[in-house]
Parts: sequence; structure tokens; C-alpha cells
Amino acid sequence: MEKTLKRAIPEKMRNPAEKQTRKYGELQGSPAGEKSWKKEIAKETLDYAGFSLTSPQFMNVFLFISGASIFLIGIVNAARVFLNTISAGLAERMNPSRITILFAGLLLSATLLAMIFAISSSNPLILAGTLLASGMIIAIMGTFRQSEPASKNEPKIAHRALYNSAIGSAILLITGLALDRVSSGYSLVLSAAALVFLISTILKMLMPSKSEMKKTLGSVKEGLGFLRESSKNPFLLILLINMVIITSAQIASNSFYGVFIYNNFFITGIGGFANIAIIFSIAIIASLIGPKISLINFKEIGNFPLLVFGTAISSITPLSYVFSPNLASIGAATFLGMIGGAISGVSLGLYIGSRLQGELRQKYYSIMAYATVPSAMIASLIAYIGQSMGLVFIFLTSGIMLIAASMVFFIMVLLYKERELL
Amino acid sequence: MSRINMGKKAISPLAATIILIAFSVAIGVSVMSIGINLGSRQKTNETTCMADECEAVQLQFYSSASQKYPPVSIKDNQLSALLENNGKKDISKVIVRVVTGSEIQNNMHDWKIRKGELYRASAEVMKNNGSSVQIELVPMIESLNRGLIPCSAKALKYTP
Repeated sequence: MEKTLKRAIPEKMRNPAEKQTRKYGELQGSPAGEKSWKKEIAKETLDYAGFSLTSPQFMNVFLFISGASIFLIGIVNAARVFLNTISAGLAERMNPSRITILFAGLLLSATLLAMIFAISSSNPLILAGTLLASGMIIAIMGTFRQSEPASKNEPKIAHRALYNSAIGSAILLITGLALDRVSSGYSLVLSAAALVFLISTILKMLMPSKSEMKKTLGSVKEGLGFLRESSKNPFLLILLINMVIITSAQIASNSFYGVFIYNNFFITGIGGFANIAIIFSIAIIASLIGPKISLINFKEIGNFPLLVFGTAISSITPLSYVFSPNLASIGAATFLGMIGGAISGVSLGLYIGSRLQGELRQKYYSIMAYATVPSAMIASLIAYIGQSMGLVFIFLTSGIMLIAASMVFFIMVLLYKERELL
Repeated sequence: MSRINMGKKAISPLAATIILIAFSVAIGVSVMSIGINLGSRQKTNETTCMADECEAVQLQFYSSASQKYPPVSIKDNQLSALLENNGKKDISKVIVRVVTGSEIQNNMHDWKIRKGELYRASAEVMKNNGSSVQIELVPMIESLNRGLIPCSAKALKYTP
């Protein structure tokens, strides 16, 4: 029946989206396409398993137990955010051969194995170097990922997100338990991560190369173009400054959540690493809910009120470490904070998508990538002061910064409500 | 039948924002109250609550059977003491607090005493005008959470 209908419709009148899908090749619905998406899903599963095995919270604890100071942990995390953004942006311009992909995969596995040496020899500097290198390679390899046309049997993206989150949470819990219960558990976990990423690389090599890559990181000139535009429109400038404040607060506080839980709840709950795993499994599940809340409510409420709400809610997480430092409270606050972060992220994305058009939007994304530099610097400064004032200072400062950012968004609602900006 | 304007927002952005801020404050207070309730039960149930970092601190005057001199003495307004860190944390500084009938003198000293180590300490204390004197040595530790903190509950007391 479907075939008959297709024959009856002339080629020119067919759905353009369908034509677009056909343009990518004969993968759609074909045995090759089936194999391709199965490989893609297998690779994705392995990647999520690898990300859980090398969770940044565990890595920060490894740094801490290797003897790294608060400042070093802070600066490594800040540098990681900046280097990952820039290296991923630069990698988008590459068209990697299979050998390049294999080399990157091998290098990643080697850095993970080098981490074992750094932890066992309690050398925080080597560990910091390998952490930065592995983060950059993962970010670069992330841009090499496939985006194949959907096969008719391929699970929907929402189902894949749910599946990947379940895998991620389960592996995170197993990793936490392994780190607590197995002697030299870090060797086991990092070796497993090296193996998982290597298999993922091999799967990646077996997949056809991507036809086209979307560039997200523009030139410095483009970024400066946005700044010039902002000088004419204070709304954009305030938005940009506020995003820098939010990113700094998030980098600073995220660097120490795991360390705080490990240090204070080492003998309570189910163990230092397992407690971290439970708290951040909650975060993974919450990250699925947040975007849905934004997508359901943005038409009725508006993007900007949701941005205020999301930012205010995300301040609960760091503040819970200050005012209510117990696992139950931290768990609930992490759940809410993750939802808040997702709400504000999606709301901002929708707002930018609807209000900034064409070139200006591209300029915005460019400046946001370069804005990780001041964000990383502010986060490092907070960590530097936190070195003498303690982790509570870092969480309190981050919480206050997020509340201040939320209030700035609120003032923007008050000032610009008449101008159709919301 | 009245027409429904599907394009218009249900409430104004300002009203929505105020309601959402109030909602987020309420959620925040609720989350913090979980902690307050658990905190009150901390002494009986320590499965989820944070332990006091000063619990691991133990500063003592060193004493042994073969010791010829007293572990602590005050001579010519000079306090001399042989201190021992028997706790599980390194001591970074010590506050020497001299309490007389009318005055309190606090002096912070950079006496770094590692776990299990002995430390010969000396400090000048205020002149004794005849009233009773109590000397307190308050250990201070580098807390990961709060920076440098005094552990007053673990103070070492000495009355000459």
C-alpha cells in the first residue's frame, strides 16, 4: 500500500525531509543501516559506561587523596572546562581518518592507564596532567561521533536517553562500590575505562564517516562581533555577564561536591565513593526530567521566568552543603539542582533560538565558548580563596552567585517586560 | 462561544516569575529542613550526618614514668610545656588562653604538631597579679570544610 502511494506521488512533491534522509545514502531501513544504528547504540552505551567509570567527581577525589590542594583541584577543573570547549571546537574543523581515530582512542586508553600510576605514586601533578589530557581527548572524540539517518527500527532518542541514563547510573553505582570494597579499586576501574573506550573507538572506526559537521565554535572575531552588538544592546551584555557568573559558580562548586562527600561521609552511609555514586546517580535521573519541565511550560510561562526559576533552584545544591550537610539533604538538593540547571539550560537555549537570529546566534555561541576563559579564571580564584577558607566558603560563594544571577534575570524581567523581549 | 487566544501567555511574565521565585524559596527551605530534622538526631543516628572534625583532635601534656621534669611549668611569666598530639589530625596552630579573675589573654602560636609527635612549646603569659590563673591551650586544625578552625571543646586546661 505504502509503495503504491509513493509511486503515485511525483518525486518533486515528496516530503523534503524524506528526500534529505535519502540523500545520506542507502542506510535507511537497509541491512547496512540496521547494523549502523546498532553499532552506534553499542558505541553510545560503551561511551556512557566509560563516562561513569571516569566520573569527574571520582577523579576529583583521586586528586584529593593523591595530595592535591583545593586550589589545584579547582584550577584543574576550571582548565578542563576551557580546554574541553576549545579542543572540541577545533576538532569540529577536522575530518579525521580512521587512523587518527584509532590513535586518539589508544592515547585515551594510555592516559587512563597513566592515571593508575599517578594515583599509586600519589603524584597530583601527573594525575592533573592526565586528567586534562583525557578530558580533551574525550571532548575531541565526541565531535567525531556519528549522526546517522534514523532507521525505522531504531529506538527513539528519548528512549535512548533513558537507556543511557540507566546504564550510566548502574555503572556509576558499581564503580562506587568497587572503589570502596576492592583494594586498589582505582586500578580496576581505570583499566575497565581504558578497555571500554578502546572498544568504543574500534566500533567508531567501523562506522562510515560523517558527511557534514556543524560548526559551533566560531572565530574570535565572531565572538568580538557579539560583544560589539552587546554594547548597543545592554540586554545581551547583561545576559552574557550573567552566564559567565553562572558558569563560574557551577565550575567552582562542581569541582568539590565529590571531595566533600568523600571527606565527610567516608565512614557513614555505604562508603565514601559509593555515597558519591548514589548522589550522582540521582543527578543523572534528574537530568532527564528537567528539560521536559521546560518544554512543557515555556509556552504558558515564558522562557525568562523559567530561567529565573531554574537558576534559583540550582542554587539549592551548593547551599545544602553549607546549611544542611547530611546525605539525605544533599541528595534531595542535588536532584533539585540538576532539574534547575536543566530548566535554565533549556530555557536559555529556547530563548536564544527564538530571539537571536542567524549570524547573531552564531556569534553568541562563539562568545559563550570563549567566555569559559573568564569563567575558569573566576572559578580558580574562588578555589584559591577556598584554599584557606575551606570548602564551605566555595559552596557558599557559588550559592550566592547563583542567587545573584537569578535576581539579575528577575530584574531583566522587570525592566524589559514592555519591550517584547520575554 | 468566546474565542480562546492560544498565542497569549496564561499569566504575565512578572507574575509567573514572582510565583516561581516563591516556589523555589519554599523548596529550598523544605530541603534544608530535612537536614535540621536529621541534625537533631545526629547524636543517636550518625548514618547520614557529617561528623564533627574536632572529634579526631586530642592534645595532651606528655607524661612518662622516666620523665624528670613536669610536663608544664610557668617560670618568669614563661610557659613551657611538652605537648603530645594523640589525635588523628595534625594540629596547625595553638591558641594560648590565659584566664585570670578579670582578664583574658589570647595568643595564637604557630605550633605545628603532627599526629603522634611531641612538641616542646614555650610562650609568654601575662604577669600574675596574685589572682588565680587558668591556662587553656586550644588546638586549631586545618579543616577541609571550614579552613583553620579552633577546637575549643578539646582545649587542654592547666591551673598552676
